[in-house]
Amino acid sequence: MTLQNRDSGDSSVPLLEVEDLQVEFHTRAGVLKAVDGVSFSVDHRETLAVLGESGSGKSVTAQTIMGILDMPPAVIAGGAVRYRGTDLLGLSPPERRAIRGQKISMIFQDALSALNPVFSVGWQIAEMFRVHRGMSRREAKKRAIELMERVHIPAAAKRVDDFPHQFSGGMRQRIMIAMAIALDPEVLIADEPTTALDVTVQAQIMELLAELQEESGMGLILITHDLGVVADIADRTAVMYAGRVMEQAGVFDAYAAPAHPYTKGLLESIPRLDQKGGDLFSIPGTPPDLLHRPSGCAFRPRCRFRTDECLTEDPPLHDIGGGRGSACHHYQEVLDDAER
Amino acid sequence: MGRYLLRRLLQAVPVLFGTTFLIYVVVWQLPGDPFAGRCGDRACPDAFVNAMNEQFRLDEPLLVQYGHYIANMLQGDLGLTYNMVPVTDLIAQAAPITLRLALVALAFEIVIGVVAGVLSGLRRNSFFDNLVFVSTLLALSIPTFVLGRFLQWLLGVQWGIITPSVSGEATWGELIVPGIVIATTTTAILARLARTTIAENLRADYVRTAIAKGMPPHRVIGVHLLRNSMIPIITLIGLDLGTLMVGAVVTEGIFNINGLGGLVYDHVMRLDSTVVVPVATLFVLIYILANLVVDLIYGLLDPRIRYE
Repeated sequence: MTLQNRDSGDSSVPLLEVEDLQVEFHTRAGVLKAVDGVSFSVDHRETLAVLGESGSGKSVTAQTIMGILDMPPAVIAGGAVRYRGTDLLGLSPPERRAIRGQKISMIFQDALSALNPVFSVGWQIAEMFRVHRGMSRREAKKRAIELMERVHIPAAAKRVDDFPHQFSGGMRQRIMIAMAIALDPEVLIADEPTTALDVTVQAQIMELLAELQEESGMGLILITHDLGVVADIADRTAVMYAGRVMEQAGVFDAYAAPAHPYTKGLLESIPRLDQKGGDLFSIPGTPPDLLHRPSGCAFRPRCRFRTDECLTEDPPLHDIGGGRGSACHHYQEVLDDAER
Repeated sequence: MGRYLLRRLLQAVPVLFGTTFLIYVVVWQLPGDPFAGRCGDRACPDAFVNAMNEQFRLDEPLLVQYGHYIANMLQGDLGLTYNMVPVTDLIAQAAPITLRLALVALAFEIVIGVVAGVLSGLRRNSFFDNLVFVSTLLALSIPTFVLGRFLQWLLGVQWGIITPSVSGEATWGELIVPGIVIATTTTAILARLARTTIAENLRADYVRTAIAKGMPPHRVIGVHLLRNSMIPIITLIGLDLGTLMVGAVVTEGIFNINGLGGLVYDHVMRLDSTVVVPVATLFVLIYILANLVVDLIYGLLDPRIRYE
């Protein structure tokens, strides 16, 4: 297909690059920094997992990339989102629209509410072809059926006129995926795509995403709080906390030897069968109130590696070698701790 | 679908009987003698009163009267008024005028109410939104008959823009102001409802999806948002036909319009129930059918609603 084209692009420019992104919410209680200097990039055929709990700014980051943030109350205070070198934040709304859904597309957590209840699924997929490609109703419907087959919906031709509520959760998410990949986007952002699904279905959806990525060579940004989901499919991970990237690493490195106390805490809080009966570990404390960010390191109040330095010095994302980064003063200590 | 329709129509039968009976009873409970003032300055001769009582069965028990009325009605005979005019003729003359008036009112409601509501829902807390809010508050707090009398005085008597009293032909142009008077309350309620519905659905996930699909704003709003917001709006319009008909009685009385409302208004004043009951029955029938149509429209608007 278009693979050759894509790979022959200027290799020095990343496909999608987020640089020092700052997003604020102006509320009555004050200014809330939801995203505070986030940087990452994703290339063709690459899967970046953005990890973090609710309120860490991962969804806001995704919505900023897509340009579907509600503004106001959100304000983009700084930074850039570059698609093939072009800063999307500087584009006009029509220019932005030409990229949204066609070059960069997105799927959401709850497919039932994300699909329009009053239109058939086929209509909703076909809308992409009719509006963006000017296809006839009939041609677009044919393409919709093909897409439904591509995401493995059984009896696609028969079900094309059914409505979202007539499908199971997993099938609905497949329809969302079909809609998102309709126009062969180069980047797909999946915002917690499996959170609302059964565990067995979760695995099927992840497999499907991996399969589609294999076929098309698109870059995938997978936003999740579920470490288990990430392990198999992601290449790299960016761990977010309180609006910042705490750690960036290859998935294997991050799992084997986390370089940030937060990543470490997340990994330790996964229940393990070989420790059945023991107490479940959880990171003490709660995520910070972003209106009243603690001084120094935002994770400090919950951290067992903290020192006086953490109270005053906000750690930058240290380059710790091997393409990894950690926003912790004591990353070496954390790394060593893992090896013990 | 067919079975649903049949069931709904069968349900309408007891409703129709029940309401007509209530109307019948209420009208006959009005104080005063319908024949007392019919002979100018003098009291009517007993012979006349007795003859009238006999012809209109006023000396029989209420239930028997009602039975006769229903039996005749089912044969298409609505009887004569106390002035010996066939009721069917009166209704046939008046109905087109009221239909025109109702269409004017409906058009006003839908165009002004829905458009104002949708726009203020899309631009919440804007100047326009506040303007709509204050206007609806004002519209809701003025009773129909006050507004009718006021506009008649202001536009008709003071400024001379309209004729204070509508002519026998009741042309479309003449019915604009009375139509607005009838529609005012509902327009305000519709605007409020549309605003809330739109504002709420604007935050819905499927709207976000439509934006994420790269759909232009007119499609996001005109197709994805509006279709989902139509159900409460259509429901209100259907339910409101009742208000419309009540409004027609008062407003036709004020502007001297010879429609069904005016007919009822005149004959209630004369204690002549021969017209009041059939017209009220017609109103009930229209109301039942309109709401059936609304229920059927639901099914078209929202595939999750199915009739079995």
